Amino acid sequence: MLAHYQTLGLSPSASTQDVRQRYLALIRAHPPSREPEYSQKIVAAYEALKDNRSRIDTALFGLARCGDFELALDELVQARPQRRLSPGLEKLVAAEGADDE
Amino acid sequence: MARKRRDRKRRKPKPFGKTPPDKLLAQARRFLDSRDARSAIERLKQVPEGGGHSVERSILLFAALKQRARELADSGQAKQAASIRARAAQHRDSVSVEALGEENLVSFLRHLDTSEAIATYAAYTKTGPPIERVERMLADRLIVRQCWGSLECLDANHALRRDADLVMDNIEAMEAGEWKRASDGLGGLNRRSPYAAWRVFCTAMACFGAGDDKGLLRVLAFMPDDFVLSDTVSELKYACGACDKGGPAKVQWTLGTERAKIVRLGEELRKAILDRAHPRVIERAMTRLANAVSPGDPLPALVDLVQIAGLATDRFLLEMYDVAVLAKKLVPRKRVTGLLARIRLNLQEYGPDRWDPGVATILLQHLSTEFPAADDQPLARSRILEAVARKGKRSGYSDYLPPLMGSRLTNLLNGRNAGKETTLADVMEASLEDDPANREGYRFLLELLRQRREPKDRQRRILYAMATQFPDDAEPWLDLTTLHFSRNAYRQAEKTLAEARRLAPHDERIIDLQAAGFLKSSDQSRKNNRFEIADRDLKLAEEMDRTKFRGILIAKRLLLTIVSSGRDPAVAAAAYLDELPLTMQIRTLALLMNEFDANRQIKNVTDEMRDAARELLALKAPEIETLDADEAAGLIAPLPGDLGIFYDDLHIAPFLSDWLGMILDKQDDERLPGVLDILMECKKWDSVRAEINRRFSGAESDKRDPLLLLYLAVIRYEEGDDFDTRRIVDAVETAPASDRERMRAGAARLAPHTTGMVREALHTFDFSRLDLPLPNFDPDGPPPFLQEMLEEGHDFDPDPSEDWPDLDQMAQDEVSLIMLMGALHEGLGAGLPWESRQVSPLDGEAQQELNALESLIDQTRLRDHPNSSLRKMAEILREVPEIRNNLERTARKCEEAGLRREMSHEARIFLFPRPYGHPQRRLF
Repeated sequence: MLAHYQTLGLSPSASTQDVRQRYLALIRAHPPSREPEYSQKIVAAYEALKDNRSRIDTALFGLARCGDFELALDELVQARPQRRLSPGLEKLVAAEGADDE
Repeated sequence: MARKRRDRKRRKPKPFGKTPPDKLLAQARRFLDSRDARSAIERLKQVPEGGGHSVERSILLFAALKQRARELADSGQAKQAASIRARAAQHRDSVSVEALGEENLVSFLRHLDTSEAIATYAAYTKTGPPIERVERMLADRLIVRQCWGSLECLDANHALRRDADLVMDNIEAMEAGEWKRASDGLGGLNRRSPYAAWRVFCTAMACFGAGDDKGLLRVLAFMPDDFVLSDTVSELKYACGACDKGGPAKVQWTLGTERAKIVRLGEELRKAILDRAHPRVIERAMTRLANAVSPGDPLPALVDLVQIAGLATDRFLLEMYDVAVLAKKLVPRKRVTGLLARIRLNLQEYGPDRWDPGVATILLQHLSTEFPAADDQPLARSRILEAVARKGKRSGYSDYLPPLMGSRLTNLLNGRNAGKETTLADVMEASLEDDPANREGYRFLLELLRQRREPKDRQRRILYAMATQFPDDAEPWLDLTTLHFSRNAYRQAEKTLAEARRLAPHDERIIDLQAAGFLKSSDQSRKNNRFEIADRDLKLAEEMDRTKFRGILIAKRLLLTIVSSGRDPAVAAAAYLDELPLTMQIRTLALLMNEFDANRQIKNVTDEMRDAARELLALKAPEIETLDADEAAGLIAPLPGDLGIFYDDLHIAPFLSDWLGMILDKQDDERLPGVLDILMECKKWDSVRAEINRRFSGAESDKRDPLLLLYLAVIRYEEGDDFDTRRIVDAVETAPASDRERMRAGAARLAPHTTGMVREALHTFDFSRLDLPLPNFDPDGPPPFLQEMLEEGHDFDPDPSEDWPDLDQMAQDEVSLIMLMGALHEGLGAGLPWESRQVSPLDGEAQQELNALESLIDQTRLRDHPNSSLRKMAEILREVPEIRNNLERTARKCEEAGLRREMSHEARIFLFPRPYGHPQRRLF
């Protein structure tokens, strides 16, 4: 369950509207023609959370669909995209708390 | 008041009189670094004024008071903050910069505002030598805080001021995260410049972004230790493998490197589970991983991880008990039961025969903790009920429920069906009440109702509800039309068909139903001796020329001609049959036989007509010899499912029973399985068995087709000729590797004709569960896993009771119940009452074991129950591998001892399973 939220970069308290907006933004940024594997993950995450029924179904039976504990564990730990960000100076300074005078 | 005074006394700081000043200063420095200004001030006040420590004391007091003033200002105490700030200024003014050594100067400047620090350093450089460390620190602060104006006080040739323009030009690239551009821009900086570390940092960030770990490793060697973004540098070093400890989580999230850590922690957890590590190790690994995955709130990650651990029980890597303990330790107490029930429900989804609605009942009771939002609860209840119904159908419980499961199903519906037999359809209907917008759910419910041959009124009610819920869907109207036609309610059928036509005017199914309507109407008129109307409707159906009905139109026309004219069927048929090819002739005659059977109770259809038609078929059938293999196989192909509104049975093969040998004889090895499958479906198992035996007769054992061996083994087992599954396992194991896929496909086709563990094995093509060794149990004590549970203090009574274990009565401790359900799957069979109470596994006395089983049947009041209930109960028991092995062993012993005829029929059902409606035959 958490894996899908992580794929979309959302917290588990995100609303259906948030899920849709993030899905559209991500799929626009990572179209299937350029990143087929990643976009597939995004679509799967969206399908799992797109409405209340899907979300509850995923919460109840999402693990059974993985079929095996190793696959379920992989899904969770690899939910976040593997990429190195290039944050700006301001973000780095804020993350370190180095801007206190 | 006294208490207040006492508390104040307790809070009073301890005197530091005996602590040496050096130690006090060191403590104050530590408190300052950890941003605890109050404690630092307390320590510094104890350092005596004057002496060798006064300068350092003043500097630290200045820093501590300044920090405290900031804290007070942040909490809105402006007045107190101003007072403290004034005291800090006094200490600052008491410090003489010229007299400071390098260490103290660095410390002093660090605590000044950037502009003050630069001004102070500018004053210092007029008399003192430049200090590289200070200049680097000032350069860092200038870039971080962007206060370039304060450089005015420095000499124009000073390195800090001289290189500032170049740095300022590249600040924009740094802010935009374009580190390569910034690195190139800072290329003109001298290596000794105070800003040189930033040039190195920009290059490091560029290497990091480009994934150049070698370059990153090389560049990071030049970074000074006191660089302002030290955590970022640590994380960069960790990312390229230069050190074992990275930066804090916030920096990892900013750089996007948190996944590497998560993957590493995930590997640790996987290894711990695969190595069957102690649950404490698994618990620690889970906690670390959950904190990395979800740093702010690890609970959702912990819930997922406990569920993942639950999945590992399916591979016997963890015990269900360990999972329960993990859940108790890692998630809040109120969520434990619900979480464990979710795990059990998920595990049930695996095997085709694992099904127990008791788990869902427990989950429903804890819905408010699992789904706190009130809106989610009805939907969750609906999904759970639907899952129970779907799983029940997959496990073969759609048309029959054993009493124990029936009562649990009633519990699941909160007793609303009390006093009545609860079915899967009831559960599905309850699910739809909570979620009426579930279109697939309606379809599934209708499938269940059709399968159970429920009263058609209920189907009609559900279809009307579906039509109301989905007004744009023509499907319920089409189904209603079919339903009305099958009930001969033509007027209602016309109305619903008109509604379907309005919604989907171009749907081909509407034209098919129109033709079906004419055919049904013709049938009805024929039955009522209104032959003219019957003829008119039949003609209308013929004119519509629907491919689907082409095969049956001739049979219907033939029947009408025979019935209406009273002519000899041979004469009447000649006009229609002579023009048809031979295969169509034989098939039409078989269909005509079907029509006679279906209309047997109608007065205008006589036995003489049927006999004459049969003679006609007997005359034509020998010509099957002239057909090729495909044509012969086509003769027994069943009618399409859509024609179910005309015929109760769609199979043609039963009407050609006498000639099946001829048809099978024509089939080569490749085509034979397809034909055998048709015969298996229409329960002509004796023909299948005879054909396989005929082919095997005289053939060398290694030349026998392993797939046919599998067919034979399954038939023998299901008919009760074999009381164990050895032949099935042997057939699969002796098949060559090249036949593996063919065997797998054949096993999947055979699975629906079997039950219990054999069905699961055929379905999954995993025969290891059928091949388990006999259990090694101890008759003097409980099985080892129950012993462990007892030692752990779990309050589950392992002593087998006189009756069957009544799970419902044990529901006081729901965790125990869930674990017991797991135990039933994992080996409770070893603790069956008759084994542990009376029989030694070593004595080999079949009579004793049989007596024990007979007593058990008496004690459980199973005697005189309907055979179907007993068979189903035996089937459920045999799902547990150990129980099945015990039953098979006892059966084998009884067979060897010649006790088969002496046992009660109840015991025989338990020991020698046999499906319904298949008499035992010995053809092999």
